[in-house]
Amino acid sequence: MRIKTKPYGEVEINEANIIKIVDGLFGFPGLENYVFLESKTEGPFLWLQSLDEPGLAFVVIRPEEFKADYKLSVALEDIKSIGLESPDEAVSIALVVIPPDPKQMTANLQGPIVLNVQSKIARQMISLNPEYKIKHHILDEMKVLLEKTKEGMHKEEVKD
Amino acid sequence: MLVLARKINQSIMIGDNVEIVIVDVQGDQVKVGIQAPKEIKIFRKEIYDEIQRENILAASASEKALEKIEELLPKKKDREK
Repeated sequence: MRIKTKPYGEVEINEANIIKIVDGLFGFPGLENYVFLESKTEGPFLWLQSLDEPGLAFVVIRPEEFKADYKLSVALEDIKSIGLESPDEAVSIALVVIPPDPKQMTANLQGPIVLNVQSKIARQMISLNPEYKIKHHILDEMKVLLEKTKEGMHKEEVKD
Repeated sequence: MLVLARKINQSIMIGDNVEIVIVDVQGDQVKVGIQAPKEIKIFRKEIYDEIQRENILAASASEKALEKIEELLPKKKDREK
């Protein structure tokens, strides 16, 4: 089907990829149907486009892209509400805020969108882990992650 | 909205399983104890408000901003290493 999108105008999407965010995002009630669009820019970002409101779209990122040890922690009641038994079965998606200075862009890990990949049902949940804040500086944390990866590789080399 | 006056150590029941106790009152601060089943979600209202505000900020993202970010990201080669 063809849909109108905020970043790319009219695009063709596969209906099977439509996800339902139960109750909508906080502040956007009643808007439940969304689809992920590949970003045309390089990088780990996706667009989350509303089907109900073509002018509404969010930039999103998987938390694992900047936090290797990310582990979803939410209420069991929330997890069951999207048809799963454990947070480990779910996919988390963080909403990104891009301020006028894009270096300061942040991702929200306090209110992740949590997705059941099989049923395509999702819900915005509140993290129970107090380390996950409303603003995580993506670029800074990516750099830290990159350094850690390099260190890890170095250690492996030494072992060999 | 139902408004009830309570003293320290008095409580309110919400349904059969949720008990709200006034633990302490000091000046304009009230300490509230909540006894509830595990599956009941309890959060400060500010958290909902903060997430809502953050969602609204996130809704203003543009493709142009993403293009600027492209240049700031660690090089793809580095990331894949």
